[in-house]
Amino acid sequence: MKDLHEVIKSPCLTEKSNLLQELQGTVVFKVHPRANKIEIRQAVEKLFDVKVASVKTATMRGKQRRIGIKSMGRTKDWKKAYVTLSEGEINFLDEL
Amino acid sequence: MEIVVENVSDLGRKLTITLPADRVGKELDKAYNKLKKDVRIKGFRRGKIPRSVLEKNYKEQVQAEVGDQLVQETYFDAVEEKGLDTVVHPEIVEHNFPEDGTFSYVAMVDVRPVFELKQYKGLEIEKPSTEVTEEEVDARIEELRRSHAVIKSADEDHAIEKDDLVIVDFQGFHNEKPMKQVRNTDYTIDVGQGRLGEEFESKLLGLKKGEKTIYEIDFPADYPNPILAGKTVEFKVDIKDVKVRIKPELDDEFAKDINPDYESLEDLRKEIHDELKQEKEKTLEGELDDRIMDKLIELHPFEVPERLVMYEVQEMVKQTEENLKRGGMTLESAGIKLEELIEQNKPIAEKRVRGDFLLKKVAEVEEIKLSDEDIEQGYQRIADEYNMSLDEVKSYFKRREEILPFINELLNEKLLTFLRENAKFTEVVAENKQEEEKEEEKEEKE
Repeated sequence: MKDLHEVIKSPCLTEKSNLLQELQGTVVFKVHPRANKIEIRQAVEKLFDVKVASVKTATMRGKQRRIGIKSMGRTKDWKKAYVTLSEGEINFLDEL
Repeated sequence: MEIVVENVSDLGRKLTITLPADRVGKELDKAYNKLKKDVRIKGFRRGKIPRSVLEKNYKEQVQAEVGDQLVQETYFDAVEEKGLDTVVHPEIVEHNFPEDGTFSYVAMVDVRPVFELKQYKGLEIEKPSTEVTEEEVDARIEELRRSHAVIKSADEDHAIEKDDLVIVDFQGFHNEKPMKQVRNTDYTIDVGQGRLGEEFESKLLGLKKGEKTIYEIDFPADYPNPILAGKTVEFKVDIKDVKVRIKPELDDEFAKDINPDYESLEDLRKEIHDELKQEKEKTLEGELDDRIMDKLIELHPFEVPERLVMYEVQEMVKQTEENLKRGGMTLESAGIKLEELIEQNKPIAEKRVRGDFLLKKVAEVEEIKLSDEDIEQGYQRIADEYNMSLDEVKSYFKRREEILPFINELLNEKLLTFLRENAKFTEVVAENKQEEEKEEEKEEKE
């Protein structure tokens, strides 16, 4: 099994994620692009000692960035996971 | 607002003040809303950061800020409500925001000591005599002769005596090793002034120009110069030149030299006499003030606020540090230990504080206040002292927070003048000290 921290990379702290957390107890993470929902569920449960109700994922396309004058580059694609908790809660300030 | 007052010591009070949640909440809201506008956190648009996120990131900072503000807003009300007469800025020892949204802090303060003025009029003060003796005049004239002396190269076989100027090279050796700091070339020694230590100079007496000499000097352990203290130093001294002072004759001519207005030596003597008298009277004035204060303090033993004394001590330490700084030194390089300095200054500070209370009390009882005229005069005096124009002085005091201590000083002066006018002075010559003490004993017995 992969290292747990390889699966869960960091919390995704944005206006949207904050709202979700407050409204329905969903926490949002940036995860490894090839991690699947099962791995994410297991990793979150282990790392934060909580019960997960559901995991939804979304692959975020990297943004276009200009390199030099003409050529265009891209930032990396990344995967976002919406993890709804059924038991316990995660306080990012304390955990990470 | 809940206020709990505990007596810690005679004058020390411990105030525990608790503010209700609604008031605290309002202030916190205000602070967070203000913060919201300026803070930028990644993932959030400016100004759209939820309170919960702000709290996570800035809680301590906001609480400290709001805490300070609340203390400032409520402390004086609290003091007034409890009718405390405090003397110092409070020492806020802790403030915290418990979970229930209230805010409480503990302030340690000292209150003004309560005492009755016993006696302040007709204080019996011994006044040292300001009589100038003939010897003092003679000494002053001798000084004048020295400073007006003509300096001439001495004859080859002139033996060094007191008041000669000797130009030397010298090198100090300690344990046969030359000392780097203890050497000099073409150094002029004014024999008899004792600037290099009397022992050093006395060894020169009787020597002649061109001679070389070696001698040892034992420096005592408490010698002021740490390089030399407690060491036996061998000096090699090379006398390069000797000059003699030819003092002017003590006659009318000399008097005229000093000031063409003087007709004769008698005039000079008289002038010096008057000058000395004036000097003495001036120092006496300060001396008398000190004595009055001492007497007052002696008559009124009362507890003084510890914190005020410590504050005064700190001011004094600061002053010392600044003085040293001007000379390019720090406390460490001057070999002063902070704790010792504090210990040393403490009694003086206490005296000052006590004196200040007493003076203020006198002012209260006698209803002495500073008039505008007094302040004006104070300005004028400072202007004269520092060679500034009156306007400059005024603008200085307007600009800075200096005006309060200045006013305070003026008031104290006025009070002292009042006390002096009302004191009974008894002229004493120095020998009467013992009798004084006896009298004091008697007073104590009564």
